[in-house]
Amino acid sequence: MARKWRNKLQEWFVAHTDLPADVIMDLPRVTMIGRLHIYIENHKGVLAFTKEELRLSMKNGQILIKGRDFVLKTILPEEILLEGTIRSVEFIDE
Amino acid sequence: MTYWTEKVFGHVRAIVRGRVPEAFINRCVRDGVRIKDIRRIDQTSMAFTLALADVKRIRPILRATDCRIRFLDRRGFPFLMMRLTSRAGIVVGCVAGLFALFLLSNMVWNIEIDGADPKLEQQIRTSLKKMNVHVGSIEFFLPPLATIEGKLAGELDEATWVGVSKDGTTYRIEVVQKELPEDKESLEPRDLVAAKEARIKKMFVEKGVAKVETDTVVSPGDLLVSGAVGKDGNPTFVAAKGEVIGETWYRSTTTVPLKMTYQTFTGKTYTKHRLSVFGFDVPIWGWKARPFAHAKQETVEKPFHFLFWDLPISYKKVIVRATDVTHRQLNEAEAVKVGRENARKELLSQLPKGAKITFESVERRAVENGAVRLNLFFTVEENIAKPRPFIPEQRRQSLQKKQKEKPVP
Repeated sequence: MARKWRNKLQEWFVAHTDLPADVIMDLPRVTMIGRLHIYIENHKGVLAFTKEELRLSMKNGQILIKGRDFVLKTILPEEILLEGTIRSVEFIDE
Repeated sequence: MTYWTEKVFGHVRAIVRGRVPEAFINRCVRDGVRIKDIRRIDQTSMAFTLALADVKRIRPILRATDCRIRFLDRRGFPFLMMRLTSRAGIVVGCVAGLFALFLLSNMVWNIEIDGADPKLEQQIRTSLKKMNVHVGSIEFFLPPLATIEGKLAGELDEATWVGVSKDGTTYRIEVVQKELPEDKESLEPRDLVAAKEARIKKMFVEKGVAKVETDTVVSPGDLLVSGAVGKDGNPTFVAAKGEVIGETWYRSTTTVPLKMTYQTFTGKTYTKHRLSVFGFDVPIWGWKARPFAHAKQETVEKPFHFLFWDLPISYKKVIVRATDVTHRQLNEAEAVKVGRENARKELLSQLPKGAKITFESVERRAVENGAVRLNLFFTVEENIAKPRPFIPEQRRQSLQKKQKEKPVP
């Protein structure tokens, strides 16, 4: 019950203030540069990584990136920079 | 993204093999081990790059995630150094080779001497050797060109002019040799005439006939010694030779300031050594900015060469010489003394050798604007004879004409 209330409060904050949603709600921030680079903040760990696929754990569910020739250029506790040819970015609910 | 820190501190490329390599990666990230450029190879392995400093920290992670590691490649400065030290011979050889090339580029390879006969050339080479300028000497330690030039010019009496230039590693010395006139007897008939107004004091006639007597006053151009010898009717002509000492008179004016300020060197010097790199002076030795209160300084600059290039690096030697400012205050008598001395020196410098002052007097002296003004009178004994050639035929005719006019006794 408390968790639900907190979520509601956070949503209200995002809706009524100018603060970015990723900061308040701990959501992933995904930045793409064309289809060459994808930069993901607030991830919760690598679940699977192959040449064609990167699966990251998120706060609520997973994010699945598909493409070709993937290289994990940088990986830090909260950030990831993926290089390659990106075909799709998919959010998967738990 | 490539960080320069990795270039400096080194990094390794490795392959991790295990059932779930992702677990290894997550664990590394969590533990703060910097890994990057991760690439999947196959089901069980991934390649990645790891900072050299973190290599030791991955052991427990490997154990925890049940993975194995294989190193592929070692890159960066520490590994480069390692490889270089294992090939120390080559490195030392390269450095020594470059140094030798540098040294040889700054060496004197050739000394060319133009315009000197073999004897003078030998003399020049000896003088140069005394200044350490010889084939094989390091140019860096040699005196500047102007100094060499000055010294050579001073030492060589037979040269009218000495020019020293440098072309790469070659010193070129050009000499204009004096054509020393051989002291041969002039065979041209000539007379000796007076060069200036004078009273004849003494005559030494070697050849010719004296035409004046002592104590006569002559004016410039007067015949002193004739080159026509023998009978008036049929004379023979010779080059008159001799010395005619005459008494001459000069007036001169000098001014001596009573108060004078002049600089003298105390003899103390301070040498600064500088390395000039791209126009910036880097002090090597001698750090004092102003070692003396009053000083004059001179700079000697020596550029470094490499093969045929002038490097933008040069060695600068700054010699600071301490000076002393001295004030001189003269009283009138002293000023007169100085003035007379100066006037005497100046006069003698204008007169031929052997001239001497026999009498000297102050005609007028006045103090004006803090200076003593002197009018001086000098009596000098000097050789006043000056050769004047003549054409024998004309002389013969004029002499015969003169004889005809003479009444025959």
